[in-house]
Amino acid sequence: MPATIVLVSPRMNQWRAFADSLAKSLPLEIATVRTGAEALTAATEKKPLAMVIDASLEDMSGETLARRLLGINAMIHTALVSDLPSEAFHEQMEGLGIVMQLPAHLTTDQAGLLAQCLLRLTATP
Amino acid sequence: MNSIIAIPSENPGGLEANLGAHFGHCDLYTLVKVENGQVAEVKVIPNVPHQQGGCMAPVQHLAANGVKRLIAGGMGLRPLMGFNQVGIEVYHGGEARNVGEAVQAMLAGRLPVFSQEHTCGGGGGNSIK
Repeated sequence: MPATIVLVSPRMNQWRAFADSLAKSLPLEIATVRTGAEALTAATEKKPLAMVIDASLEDMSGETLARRLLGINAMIHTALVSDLPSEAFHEQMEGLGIVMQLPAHLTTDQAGLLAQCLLRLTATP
Repeated sequence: MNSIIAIPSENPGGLEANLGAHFGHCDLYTLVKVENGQVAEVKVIPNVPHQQGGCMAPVQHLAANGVKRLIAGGMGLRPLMGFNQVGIEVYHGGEARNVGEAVQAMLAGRLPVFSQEHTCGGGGGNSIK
């Protein structure tokens, strides 16, 4: 069974190119959800390798979702969209183990970077 | 108590070594095997290379080495939850000055359980809701 990455955003139409590029870069299934509640359910049911989380969801902030995911499965890697400056992002998200900060506008370039990051993190030592 | 306790340590490790301040960035881990409440064996294993978001690697590394308890001075929320998830109990090292003192404090029941309030960046209003 291929691994799953869950994309969490209310604006998935803007993430289509990113999602398609990610699917081509990694042997995995892409699942999409709109809300934090749906993401938490997906975390339990799909046991995904990673989640890409938008900054703001209909029912919670992306940061809140990243925190709540830790209580379900801390092994899920998370990438989070945020417009904070890099240093401020790292300070605010300290301890959450977020693998990558992403810009609001996701492109195929970010898909490539995220794919490389996940490959590094999941490589057998 | 019969188990393996991991203590993030500074070089060269062992009971006399200083505690590593932050578990993910420590030089190595001192593993102390405890049998019937006494130190039975001490060995040292290297840490895994640290990379952003790769905090589960040391969690899995220690789990693979049979660790059941960890004494730490500091760690983030994600590795703490990861340790809990794989069944490793985490304790806060408190005022212990070296690995040996930390182990003795644990065996005497003096170390508090490492909670979200102890985590770097966590605690208080930033805990998991």
